[in-house]
Amino acid sequence: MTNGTDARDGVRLVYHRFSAFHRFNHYLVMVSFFGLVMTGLPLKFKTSHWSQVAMDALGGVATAGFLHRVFAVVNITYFILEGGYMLYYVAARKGPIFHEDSIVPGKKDWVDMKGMFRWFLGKGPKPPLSRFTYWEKFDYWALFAGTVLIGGSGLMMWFPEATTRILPGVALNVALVLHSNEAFLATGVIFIFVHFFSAHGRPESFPADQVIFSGYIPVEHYIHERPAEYQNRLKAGTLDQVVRPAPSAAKRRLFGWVTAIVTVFAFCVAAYTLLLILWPLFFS
Amino acid sequence: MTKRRIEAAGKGGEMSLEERGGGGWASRIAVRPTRTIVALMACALVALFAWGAPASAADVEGCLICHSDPDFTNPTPADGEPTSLYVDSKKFAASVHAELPCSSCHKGFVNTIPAHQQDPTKDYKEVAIEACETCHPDAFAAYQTSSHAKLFYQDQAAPICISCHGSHEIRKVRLGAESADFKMSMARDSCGRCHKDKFEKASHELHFKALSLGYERAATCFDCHGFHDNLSLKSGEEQTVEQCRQCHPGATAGFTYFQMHLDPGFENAFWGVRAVYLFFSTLLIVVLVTGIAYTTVHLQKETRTILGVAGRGVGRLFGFIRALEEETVRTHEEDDDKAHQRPPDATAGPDDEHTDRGGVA
Repeated sequence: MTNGTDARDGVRLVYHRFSAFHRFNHYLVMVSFFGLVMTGLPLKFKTSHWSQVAMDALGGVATAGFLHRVFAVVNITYFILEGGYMLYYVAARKGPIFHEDSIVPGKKDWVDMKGMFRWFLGKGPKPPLSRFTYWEKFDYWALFAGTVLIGGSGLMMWFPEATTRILPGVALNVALVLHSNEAFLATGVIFIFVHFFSAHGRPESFPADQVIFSGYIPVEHYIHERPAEYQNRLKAGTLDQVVRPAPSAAKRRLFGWVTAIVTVFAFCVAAYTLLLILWPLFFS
Repeated sequence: MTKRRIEAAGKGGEMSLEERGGGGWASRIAVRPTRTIVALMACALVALFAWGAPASAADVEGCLICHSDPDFTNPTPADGEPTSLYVDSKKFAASVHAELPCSSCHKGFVNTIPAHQQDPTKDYKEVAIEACETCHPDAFAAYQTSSHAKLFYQDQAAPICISCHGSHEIRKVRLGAESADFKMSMARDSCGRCHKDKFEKASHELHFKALSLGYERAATCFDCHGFHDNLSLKSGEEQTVEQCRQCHPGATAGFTYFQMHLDPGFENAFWGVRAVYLFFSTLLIVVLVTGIAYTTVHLQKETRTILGVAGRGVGRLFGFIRALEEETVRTHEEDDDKAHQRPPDATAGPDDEHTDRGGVA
């Protein structure tokens, strides 16, 4: 973990990438997502022997359903917080919107993607990446869109009577299909294959990128990881906004422990998910 | 299909009736009493020793002495296969009717051998529904209003009480507090025996998914369609709304347009449902395949780069582990020289690349 390296190398400066608000939101996403997957998947894959085991362990279908709704509330909370932050960001002009260092997809993402594919094939250098890479933007916006779809259909099914006062009952059929399929997509693809691997599974961060838990990375790693943002900030003279002295050793130890615990938990959830999904594929 | 099945069952039953009460039987026994007695003794022996039949506490009439033998069939079938006259005494002893003597349901049967039935012209189905009606008049009245009953009085092939409930093995159930297992087995083994397609479709549906995972409050067939009145429920009708309201008190007419009994591919669903299903299934496969392929390529490239090794051929994409081993050997041979060249230099992002690329080429 980067933490250990800091201590040994005596790093004094760090790049502050995520504010406490964003880290808190990531915790909410994590908790709600893990909770929703663990309580929801057994119902979708009910043919699996493990679904019955999981349901019994959760305390039955009724308890799992209750917990699913609790985590749904957490989900809605982060969605409102993030949505509110977006509006505030735009209204208060907290930073650039259509810029290569903003979260909005732009031309540079396309250029970067082409560059990355050339790099994969050994036909060119790795393109200098910005504050948010194209795969990070994909992660972010896919989650955002997914939350709207899954959350919306979930609420429809949570309150079926209210829904069918406005819409015909077949809307609930649509909601059910949408919820189930989109949630499976989010589970299997975004989190297990894309997010877990591309954000946390890269060799320099494996098994977890501590930056989302601590908020900072050593400035040397920053320059290596986000050369374009570094150059932009260097030119604009805004480096001092993001580069700060390293936190105390005690704080660094704390972040290290938090990351370790979260990582172990995430691996357990991933194993649980894969077991429930893959088991019926091979042994049903 | 369903109808044929019931007809077949009905035919089998009628055959057994003929055999049981038929005149041919009685006359043959009058002629050959010795043979009959020997046969009955053999039955008793088999029952008592070979099978050790546990006679039910209520078997005061001794019926199970013969009828608990699994091989006990009608000895002289008029046509076709012999009809089994076997009653599983263990199942009967565990059933809700275990304490009743056989003749409380088998009305008009007496302990004479071999013809038990006093009025051989009486159809066994009539006997059966009369038997149930005696103790369960309400259920019988509800049944009388059902489409099953209407059909039955037309052609006798339609289901009667025992078609769904079984006969000797009817289990003890606390009404209103049925276990999920029981509700599931009723759907599968009773309703689902004839309405197989409906059951199979329903089993992909949310109510049944929850039920099969042990949620006993989830609806099974009879929760919506009624126990004995087997309602035919149509979207938008007042009766359907009433049935939904048992669990969803706020249900309105719109609520009843939720589609039940859809097949797994939603081919019989509203087109919007099928469209959403097809869209997301396609999206899932496309994103999954692309996502796994992309992530694999990306990760191995990053890994090779940070380790400073290159693969060859297919190894450029997947063989980085072998390349890594070679690199380790080489590093040892070349002393520490290589290690000094490649510290994770912060400013060397893009430049790093050319070393890597050189290796590949």
